[in-house]
Parts: sequence; C-alpha cells; structure tokens
Amino acid sequence: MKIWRRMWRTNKIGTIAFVYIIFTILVGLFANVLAPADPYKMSVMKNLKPPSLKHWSGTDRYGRDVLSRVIHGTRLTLKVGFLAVLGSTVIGTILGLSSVLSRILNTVLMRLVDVLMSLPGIFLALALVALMGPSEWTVIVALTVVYIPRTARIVNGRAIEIYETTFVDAARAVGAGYLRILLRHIFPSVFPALIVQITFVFATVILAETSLSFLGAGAPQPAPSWGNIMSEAKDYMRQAPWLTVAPGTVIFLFVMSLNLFGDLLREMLDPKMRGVQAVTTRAAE
Amino acid sequence: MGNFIIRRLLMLPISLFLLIVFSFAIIHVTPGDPAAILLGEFATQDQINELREELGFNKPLHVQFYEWFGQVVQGNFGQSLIMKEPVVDILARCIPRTAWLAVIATLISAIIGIPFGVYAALKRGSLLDRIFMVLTTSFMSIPIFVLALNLMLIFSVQLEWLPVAGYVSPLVDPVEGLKSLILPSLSISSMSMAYLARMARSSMLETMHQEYVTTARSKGLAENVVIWKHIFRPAAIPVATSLGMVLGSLLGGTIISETVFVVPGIGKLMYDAVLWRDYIILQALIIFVGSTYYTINLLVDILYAYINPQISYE
Repeated sequence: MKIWRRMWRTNKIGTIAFVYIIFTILVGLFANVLAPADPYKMSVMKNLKPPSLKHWSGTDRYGRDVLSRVIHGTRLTLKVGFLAVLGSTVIGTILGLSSVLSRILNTVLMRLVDVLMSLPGIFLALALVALMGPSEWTVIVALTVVYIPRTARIVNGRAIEIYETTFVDAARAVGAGYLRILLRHIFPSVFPALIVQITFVFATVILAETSLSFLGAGAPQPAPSWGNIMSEAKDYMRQAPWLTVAPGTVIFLFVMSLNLFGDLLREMLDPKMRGVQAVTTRAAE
Repeated sequence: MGNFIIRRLLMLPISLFLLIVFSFAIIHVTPGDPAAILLGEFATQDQINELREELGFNKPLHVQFYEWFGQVVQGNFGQSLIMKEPVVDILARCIPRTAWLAVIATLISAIIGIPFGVYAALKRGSLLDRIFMVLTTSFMSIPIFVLALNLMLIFSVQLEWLPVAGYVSPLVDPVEGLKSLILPSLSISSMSMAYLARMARSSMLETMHQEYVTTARSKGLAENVVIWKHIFRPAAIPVATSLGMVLGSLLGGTIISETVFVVPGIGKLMYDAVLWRDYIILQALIIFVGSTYYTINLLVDILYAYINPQISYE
C-alpha cells in the first residue's frame, strides 16, 4: 500500500493513468462478461443507429453494437501489443547486452540494427505483413521485428556506458567471467531504463497495431479491433459520425495513459534518465 | 571531427548494400510464395509455376540476388507488376507529392512546436508548464489516422471548408493545392510538433543552468539579450538537428495520411503495393525510403558534429 502513496506523491496524473491502464486490461480480460451485446450479431434493421440507451455508442453498418465491439477489440489489441512488446524486449535486450562482450560483435550488430532502423516502423511492419498475409500472428511477428532494434539500441547504449566503468573493470580484474559481469553488474543498471522503455514501447506498439488494423493489415473481419472499427467508420462519416468517436477515444486515452505512466515510472526510478522518452517520433511512425 | 565524418561516410555504402540485401531477403525469406500470393487464392499450381518461371524464382537464390543487385546499381528497379510501368517513373511521380506534405508538416511542427517549448522552459514549473507537458503527451498519443479522420470530419464533412480528399499540386494552383495539403500535413505533424516542443523545452532547460548564463546576467545584460543570445542560440542546436530526424520519421506517417486523404504520394504507393502484393514496388520502396532516411540522419549527424566540436565518435 505504501507504493500507492509514493506513486501519488510523485506524479498524480501518472497514478490516475496507471489506474486507467489496469482498468483497460481488466476490460480486455473480462470482455465477454462486460460487453452489453454480442459483437458479431448483425441486424440490418438496426444499422447505423446513433447512440441510444440500448447502444451507448450506436451501431455500425451491420447493426452490430459498437461499444461491445470496442470492448472485445480491447482484447485483441492488448494481446498483440503485449506479445509484441514481450518478444521485442526479450530479444532486443539479449542482443543489446551480448554485443557488449566483443567490439567486433558490437559493431556488426549495431550496424545491422541501424539498417533495420532506417525504415520507419509502420513501413517495415506493413511490408512484413504484406509478405506474410494479414493475420493476428503476422502483426505480432512484424511488430516484434520492428521494435527489436530500437530496444537493442537503448540497452546497448546503457550497457556500454556501464561496461566502461571502473567497477566492471574491477570485476574483470578479480577474474569474473563475462556472464557474471553481465548478470550481476550490467543488467541491474540497465533494468530501470528498460522498465520505463517498455512502457513507452507498449504505447508505440499500440499505436502501430491500431494503424495497421486501420489499413487492413491486422486481424481480418469480422473480428473487432480498435483499428478496423475505425476503418469501417471512415466510409460512413457523413451518415454516422459517431462511429469514429468510440474507438478513437479509447485508443487515445490508453496510449496517453501509458505515456503518462511511463513519465511517472521515470520520475520514480531516476528523473535524469537519458535517452528514454515518451513515444519518440522515430519509433512512432 | 574529420575522422568522424570519414567513418560515417564510409559506412554509407555498407549500409546501402545491407539495405539492398534486406530488400531482397525480405521478399524471399519470409514464409509464403510471392508468386502464389500475387495470383491470389484461386490460382492453379500451373499458373503459379508459370509465374515463378517468368519472374525468375526458380533460379538459385544467389543468382537471383546477383541479378537484383546488378539491376539496382544501374538504377533499374524493374517494372511494376500491377501498373506495368517502370518503378522509377512511378517513384518520380509520387515523390514530389510526399515531399510537399513532408515540408509543410515540418514547417508546421517547427513553427508551432518550438516557440511553445521555449516558452514552457522559460515558465518552468508554472501551471502553463504543466499544461504544456500534458498537451504534448496527448499530441503524441493520438494515432495519425484518428487525427486525420477527426480533422476530416470537422473541416471537410461538417464545415465543408476543405476538400475531403484528393490532391492538387501547389505549383498548378497554389490556393487549391494548399487546401488539399493542409489537413494531411496537420495529421502527420502532431507527433513531431509535440516532440520538437519537448526537445526545445529540455534543451532550453539544460542551457539555462549553464554557468555562462549566470555570467552573462551578472555582467548586467538585459534579460532579453540573455535569453536570446546566450540561452536560445546554443539550445537551438540540438533542436535543429532533431528537425532532420523529424523529417525522416514523417515518411512513415504519410502512409496513413495519404491513404486517408487520397494523396497519390509515396505513402499511398506503399499502401497500394501492399494491397496488390506488388513486391517489386515494395523492394524499390524499401531501398528508396531506407536510403533517404539513412542519408538524412547521416547529414544531420555530420551537421551536429560540425557545429559541436566536442562530439567525436561514439
């Protein structure tokens, strides 16, 4: 309970953001129970109806309840986001840390990383999805690949900083093996920056996933996701402007909460963290 | 510093080569047969085999790469499978449109973002600063397509001030051209605007606490002079170099913005290539976009090294 106090004192807005994040995750987990209607149930009679008591966000072109679709979409988006972040963080960290061990390895790996980073994120993800066919898993793989280099870069930068310090030299002088140095000395110092970075990467990944879904590269219809609901909404802007409101707002609030929470984490762990910042333009293309 | 520049320039051909390798690898290494994907679900095995033969897929991989590499080096990116036009021509047509978007978006981001950042730094800790932080975070949290659709909803559908979609070249008709470009540019610029604003703010804050600023003040200089000549000038350097980064990243945003507003530039070309599975355009785009982005960053790094003599190589 003390941690709540500390969070609240450090950054009130960030704490509220954290609560919202937990709330969204819960909504995703309990989507089946919380959704007022069946997100797949179509009804020609009821299509394109404005928000009402029965349908809080109105109905879409096929008469499906938009609110339920958004609630179920939470599940998909969160799942993709979570897996992509997990994959890219684990692999990126391993790459970033291991390249500290050898100068040559470091140069080679970082050059490869540079090449991968020379393509805007969405661009690369889209190309990968094009070649593998649109599906939930393709998006996960594509996003993982896109964010591995970015994580690797940051981890590597920090790891090298620490490697050059005297206490690592001391450890080596005592005869510590490379693995030990990595685990005991480098990783614990990299860890706080990594945690904060994960939050921001998650925000970026959600933006990327919704954009990909919007472009039609995500999970195909009729599965709802925040992005593809808006893609349908685009075609009915004159008749049904409310369709764009619900998913857009939800995406915005969630990503914003992640960013605010990331700021809170950074303040709590080390306000002077360099190189780790909210959804950078580089990553968020 | 010369050392640094030479090292970076030497890296350029290597990186370009890696990019070409990557553009080849991504097509042939990913699961799925490009020929089969091109022809769609209902193609027969014979049709697929025929296409594979035609496109040279049955040759050994290194032979294919050798041919591809030779082609690229000569500037021939092949012919688009769907549009039956040399890719180079298609690119030449699309680049200017995206260039317009990118330039306008960068201008908007810089002109609005930087002054706000500077002002927030000067009023640090105040309510204004707090609002600034929340505002920039929200600008960074809006997906481009959400912003694009909402702008379209307000300005094109409800108010009917601006066209819903389409592109008119500003060279042909400046007024109509600008009207067709302003919404797409605005959509892309929100994230970079926030980023530049934050960069400006943190850069100003770092400079403000330097000793030479205190010295300037104690010399009795007017506060105005202190702010402009001694704080803003050096603070502007990292901001100027991040402008380069911003320009590069706008390229990605154009995919969505151009698709929503139907501007036939590089972004929309990318989307269409994905839609039609035209992998030849994809390959060319990977090389083109990648090298542009890389070159811009390279120039920015060199510029930064030139301005700031303390940086050698990492």
